[in-house]
Parts: sequence; structure tokens; C-alpha cells
Amino acid sequence: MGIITALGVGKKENISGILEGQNAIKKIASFDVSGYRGKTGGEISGFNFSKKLKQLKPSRLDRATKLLLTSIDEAVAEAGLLNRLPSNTPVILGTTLGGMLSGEAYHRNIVSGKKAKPSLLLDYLAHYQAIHIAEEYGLDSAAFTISNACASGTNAIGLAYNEIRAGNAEIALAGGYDTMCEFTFAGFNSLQAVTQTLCRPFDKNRDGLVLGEGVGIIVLEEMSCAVSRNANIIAEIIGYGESSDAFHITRPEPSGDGAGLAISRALTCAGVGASDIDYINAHGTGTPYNDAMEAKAIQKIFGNASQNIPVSSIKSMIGHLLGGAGAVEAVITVMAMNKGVLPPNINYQTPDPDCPLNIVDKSEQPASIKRAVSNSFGFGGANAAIIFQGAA
Amino acid sequence: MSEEFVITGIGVVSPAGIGKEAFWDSLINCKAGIKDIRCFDTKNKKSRLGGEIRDFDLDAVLPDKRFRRAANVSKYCLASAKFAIDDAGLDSTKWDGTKVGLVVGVTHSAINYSREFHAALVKEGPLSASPMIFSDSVLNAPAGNTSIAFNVKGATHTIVGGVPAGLHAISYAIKIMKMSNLDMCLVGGAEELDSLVFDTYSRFGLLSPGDRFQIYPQGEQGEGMKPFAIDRNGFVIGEGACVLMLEKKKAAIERKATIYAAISSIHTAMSLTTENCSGICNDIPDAAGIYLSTGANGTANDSTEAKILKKEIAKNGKPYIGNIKPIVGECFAASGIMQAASAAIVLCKGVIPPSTIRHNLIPEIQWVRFNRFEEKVKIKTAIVSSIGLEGEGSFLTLKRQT
Repeated sequence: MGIITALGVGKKENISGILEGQNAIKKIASFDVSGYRGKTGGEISGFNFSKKLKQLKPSRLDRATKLLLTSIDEAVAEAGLLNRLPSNTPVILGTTLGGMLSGEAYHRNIVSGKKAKPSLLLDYLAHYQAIHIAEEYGLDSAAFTISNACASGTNAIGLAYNEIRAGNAEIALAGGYDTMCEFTFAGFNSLQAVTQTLCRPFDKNRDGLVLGEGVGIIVLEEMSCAVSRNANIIAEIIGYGESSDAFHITRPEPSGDGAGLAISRALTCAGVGASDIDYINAHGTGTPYNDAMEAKAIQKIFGNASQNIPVSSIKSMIGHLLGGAGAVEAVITVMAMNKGVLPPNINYQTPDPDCPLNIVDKSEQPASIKRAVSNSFGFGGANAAIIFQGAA
Repeated sequence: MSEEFVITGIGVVSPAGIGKEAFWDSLINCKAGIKDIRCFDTKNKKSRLGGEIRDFDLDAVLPDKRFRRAANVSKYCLASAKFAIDDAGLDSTKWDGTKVGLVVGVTHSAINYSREFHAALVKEGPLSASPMIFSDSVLNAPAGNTSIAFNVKGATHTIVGGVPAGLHAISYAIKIMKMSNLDMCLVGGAEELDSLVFDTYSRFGLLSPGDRFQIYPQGEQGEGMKPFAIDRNGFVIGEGACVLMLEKKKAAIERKATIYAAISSIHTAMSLTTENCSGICNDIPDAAGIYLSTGANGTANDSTEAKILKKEIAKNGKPYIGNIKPIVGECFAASGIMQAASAAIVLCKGVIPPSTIRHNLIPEIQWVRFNRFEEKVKIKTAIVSSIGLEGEGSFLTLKRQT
């Protein structure tokens, strides 16, 4: 697995930061936020792209691709496949923005009447990052880009999981990514979805989300293939489910039926019941609508068990990574599971009667997590849930 | 794939006609929808041509005020989906939405709204940012809006890609139908004309510089997009949407639906070559009964497409060839679905439109059969090919249902 968030580059910094409950949210530094309601975000600072490229030119790459390349190297190295990734490995990525930073830079020049470099457009469109990854790693099978808003990362892992289950691939690279850009920041501000205080998922006084940036990458491999090459199996994906709300372009369906359907499909796919789940990594954006809806969905699907299953959202610490959220949360869920420690839901102070869940309000809480669900929900009513099981 | 999924509905919004019948009529009569672009200024540009949609009114197709302020790309997608559902003889108000899926392929999606939102931000600052424009500018807005309009609750996806994104969407739709055990899935591609996109491709030298365009009756070609031609000089940009209704074959037969064609196989690869496409058409016994719905668009990749088709099919005989792009323009993600729609109609009707490509062709494509007039031929198989600017692409095989 590979990960980059505002907490740092790599798994070590991220998991220690998350389990300690570190807050990586700061005042946005990459653009002027003085005119916005919200001023904070989970920006990655101090990222230096150092990878020596075989096929691509760094000057033509968007920040998103540089983050991806770094994270993929980490994931592939951990899988023992550095420079040995089979050429028929599909690349399946989720994003909402693609290379939007490059697009913004190009368009800002056009609007301002300045000369705009066409090279900025070579990595702008959202499908080019996957194409560039395939090019750099010599992968000639397929490069798929899914853009289902904030569910994209989980959808990408879900597709990879199903490709392997269907026998279409033995190994797949899957994940999600997005960068911090003013376009999105302005958009979420205009929707009044951004907090002016702190991101407090499931708290009664929650008043909005905080944006972040980052990448999560998972190398998925068919079990017998991994066993036969003595690979270090970190965890198993045992179920995936999805659905859509058919309700509103930005608001979630308030009853939680759509989100619940995705979770119940994942449980059915895994062949496990509600009582078999030991932790729920919630979508938990910190907006009033999402968290109330998600709490309802969890209550409906898990019934009485929902009072006991620990639930947390790491968006309180690193922000909402949009297309990267599901993938980063998958990586963190798996690492927390293997360490036997629950990721905390920081900034949680006042329980909300509309969200009667067992919120993990303290850091460093040990727990035996055999199976965990990670939820992701997005604009346009996209819902996805994935279930991980610790390696035997 | 064992032909378990079939196409039972087709909806098109294209520069050459709104609705399946108008689209087909344009193909049969070689009536191109290529025009001098009006929706933005092309003065001092190398090209003025575009497959522009005019006189389209979503309200006439889907009178629903929730979508009146949606981006054009969403409106095209919504109307195409409505046409496809109606064409399939289905009623979205009566179906179990949890058993229905939707996959939409996009390339630039709501780029007009993205550009407008960002321009206001740069010129006027944060207070100018419109929440309405932002929420409809996201890549998955066409799919989101369409799922809302037609009660699609099974799964809704947006696949982003270049020209082959439409065929990728079909491939993905089959996967999610199997994965989530869906009864049916709407699958489409959608694209809208935009000045920034036009300028970009123009700066990269990819647009045909011709300033007049005409396809004469019987398919003789004037200036403009010249797929597979030796003197091809780029593509003419287009817009529109096309949506297909995919169903499980057994269910479609049981409800006595009109079956246009069955999905036989789909092959996708990065960087297509004659080597990695080997065997893509292995299940085709006789090339004489094949229709090729090609995706060549007057760029360098035309010869790759021709070489692959020649290597895989020429050994079995001479297939008929078609190419809708001189009629509708290069509609990116919508192109592959429009090509698949045209191929499905060919299979169902047993009629082949006149070839839009015939003159001054590269040697790699001269082995196929070019028909000057429409022909009545019982085609058994159609192959839809689509290659992107980076060489990525897909080949879809459709079979006639008897």
C-alpha cells in the first residue's frame, strides 16, 4: 500500500499520526483564502518529487501524477513487485479533479490575457494520470479512471477487486487521488459546505467539512497468486457493494436507504453478518446532512450492533480528500486493523441524538479488529462500501 | 461473454439529428451535422467547423424543471437516456431502481460550466462563485442528473477517458451488471462543444483546418474530416450524447423486447498494437457478414486501427465499412456509443448506410468493401473500434439476434 496525506508521505508517518489523533489541518498556504468562509485544509507540505522517470518528463506532469507515482512506488515496493509489475496489470484510479491544478494554471493565464503554455494541458484531463502511470510502469492492459465524486476511490478498489474475482487480472493497481485547488475550494465554499471552525464528524455542533489532498494506492492480488510467490499479505478484501441515491446532485438521500443498500450489498458479497464487523471507517464528512444520513444507514443495516461497533472518520484529521478519500481511508483502515488500534474521530465533543453511534472519541484505543467496513458517499448520490479482513 | 447481454433501446442526441430515427436518416442519406460553429467565436481560428447541436430543447423531451439549468452535456445525456428507455418500451417510474444501473463515459464533461466558474473566480473573486454552476460542473454531473431523473439506484458510474471512453463504459456496464446482479443498465457517452477544448486541440494541431465541409449525397466527401485518407488533416470536433439500454438476454426475450444486438465481446488495451489485439475477432467465422463501425478520425491513429482490423479480419474476407464521424464530428466519449448504436441498428435492420470514406485512402484500409449507396445485407457481426489520442482503445463485437 502507498499513502500521502497532509500527515506526510508514506505509511509510517500516516498511521502514527492517525492513531495518535494528530490534526493536520492548517490555514491553506497554496492560494489566497482571505475571501473565503473557510480558511483551512489538509495540504501536503514539503513534498519533493524525486523519482527518476523512465518514460515521462517531470516538467509536464501535474502534482497529482507526481503524488501518484510516489505512492505507487511505495505500494509496489511493499508488494515486492518493484520493477517486476506484470505488464498486464490494470491501473484503476478514482478522482474528481484529475490534473486540475494544471488546468487552473492554464485557464488563469487565458482569462488574464497572458500566454498559456499548452504543455500544462498534457496532464490536465482526469484520465491522463492513469494513462501516464501505465506508460511509466510499462503496463499495457488497461487504464481506467472512475469519477463518482467522493466515492471514486472506493469504487476504484471495488472494480479492481471484482476484476480479480472475475479472473480478468491476477494483480491490479487501484486507488484514488485529488489535489488541493482553488476551483474546488471555491466550489465547496459556495455550497456553504465548508466549516469555519473544525471538522467534527458526527458531533452535534458539526458545521461542515474541511478539504484535504492526497493519494491512497493498493496493490491487489489474487490470493493463490500471492501465496504462491510468498508475498506479504497485508489484508484481504472480502466484500464490496455499491448503489446510487437517485435523489439530488449534491445532497444525500436523508433516509440512508441508498447508502444502506451499498453496505448491505458489501456484507452479502462478503458472506458476513452485521455482528461480524468490528470497526466502521465512516465517510463522516462533518456536514450536517451526510453524517445524519450515514448514521441512519448504519443503524438500519447493523441494527442493535450499531450501538457497539466503533465508528470513526479520519477526515477530522486530514480533511476530505474527495476522489482520494476512499482509497486513503482503505489504507488507514487496513493498517489500523493490523495494529489493533482504532483510528480516532478527533474534535468529537457533543454527541448528536441523530447520530447515536459508538464514535471513537479517544486516540490510541486498542481493539481486536478482524473485519472492518469503509464507507464512501459522493455527489450525485454515489454510494460504496468495502469490507477488509485481517490476513490470517 | 456468452452473449448474455443485449441492446434493447437506443437514444441519440447528435449534431446530425435528435432521436434515433433522425440520426439513422442522416447516416443513410449522408446528411452531415457539421456546420460553422456558432456557440463561440471562431474568428481567426484555423478551423471554424464543428458538429454543433442546434434547436435542441430538453423540455420537449423531458419536461422537468430540476434539470433546466444543467449543463448541455447533462441535458444531452438526459434526453438520450429518455429516448433509450422509451425505445426499449420501459417505464422508469415503474421499475425497481435498485436493479437498474447507469454508466456514462465522459471526456471533458461539463467543461463550459467549469470554465465559466473558474473565469468568474479569477476575474471577480470568491464571492462570484456560483454553487449552482459548481455542482453541475463536476465530471459526474451528467450521470448524477440522469440517475435522479430515471430512478437509477442500482449503481451509477462515470468513466473518464478519451475517445474510447464510450466503449470503456460499455465494458464497465457489463462488469457492474454481473457484479451487482442488475437486470438492466443504461450506458452512454456525453460531450459538449466548448471554446477552450476547441482552442486546445487546435493548438495541438489536431483539428482539421478546413473551413467548409460537405458530404455529398452518396457519400462523396468534401473538405473536413477524412478518416483513413492519405491526406487526412485532423478531426472536426463534435458534441452530443448517446445512451443504450443493456439488458440480460433472457429477461429481454421474456418481455418480448426488440433486441438490436447482443454484446459478444469487448477488448480493451493501453497502446493498441497488432500484437496485443491478436485474437480480438476470433469468434467471427465469415468476414463477408461483418460491418465495421470504425472510429478513425483523421489523425495519425487511423493507420493503427486499419492495421489491426486488417490483421484480424482480412483473412476471412471483405467486411463492409462505416464511419459516422464525418457526419457527427469527433464527439469523444459519446463517439463510441454512437458508433455502437449505428452498428446495432445495422444489425437489426439489415441495412448498411453508404460509406463515408472512399477516396484517396491509405493502403491499410483498401481491403474492405465500400458501398456507394445504402445496401440491404444481412450482417451477422459488427465490430466497433475506438482508439484514443494516446493509442489506448477498445474493440467491441456485436452480434445479430435471430
